[in-house]
Amino acid sequence: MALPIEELGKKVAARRSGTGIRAAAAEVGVSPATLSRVENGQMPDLETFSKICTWLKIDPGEFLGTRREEHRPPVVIFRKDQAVSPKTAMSLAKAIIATQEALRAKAQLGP
Amino acid sequence: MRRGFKADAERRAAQVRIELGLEGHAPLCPWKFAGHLKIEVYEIAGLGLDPSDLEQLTKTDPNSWSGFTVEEAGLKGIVLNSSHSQGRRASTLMHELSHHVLRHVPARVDIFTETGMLILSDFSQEQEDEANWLSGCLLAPRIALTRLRSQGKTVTEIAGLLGISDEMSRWRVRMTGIESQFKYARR
Repeated sequence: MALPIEELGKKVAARRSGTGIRAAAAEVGVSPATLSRVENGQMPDLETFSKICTWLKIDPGEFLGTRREEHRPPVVIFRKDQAVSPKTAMSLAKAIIATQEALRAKAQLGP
Repeated sequence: MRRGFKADAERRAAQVRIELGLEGHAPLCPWKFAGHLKIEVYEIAGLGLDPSDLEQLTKTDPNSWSGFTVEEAGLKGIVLNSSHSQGRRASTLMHELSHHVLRHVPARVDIFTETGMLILSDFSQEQEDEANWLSGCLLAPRIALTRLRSQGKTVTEIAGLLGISDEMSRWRVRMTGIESQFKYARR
């Protein structure tokens, strides 16, 4: 069972309890602003997520869950802020699915 | 950035123009370049998203993202933020195309979970720096900047002529050292 993403922020808050945000951020290797945003429930980027999991001593797979498409998963590369709001993240996820569908339709049509 | 990369990027920008039958100082339309590379380009507003999602991405929170690239079914597609200016979208598109030209391989992660978590692949800072530099060379090669500055064109006029943002035009004129070159010549 995957941990819900909301748990990431809570785990960060619990782990740093008693430690200031600046000191904790220095331990993680991210900026205090980034750590604070994650603690407040925003989605981290890959690098930040990886650093936080290492600091929390948690396997990233615990958050990533197990749902997989049968076909090869898409590679998605973003130009975005280091952290985006959960609402924006959900809308972006839907946009990725719409793009996949558009590309599949294009592939079926051929060149 | 690795040694020699900047000079190599200018050579690549020249080579691309040769491939497309353009003069070395001519504007390079990123959308046409994407077609040349057989990469699909979409505007977020054209993907048929629910109005609430489109509003979130283009009106409520339009500055948190610029674009993204998706590989699927053997094809590559780039999606741009429709709410951004033409010049900014040109920069975003050329940046993404530059990662492709440079054959950058991102870290890869499977992304969706039932909780809605979104974890994305991304590039290293070095790869980002390289794509930034190459996209600048492709959009505004040194040869074009030198020519236009020698004609007395302003940064804004250069932006208009090359189809880029004022910010990109200013950045390129500064980073290529052309401004200092002309100041020195006028002494």
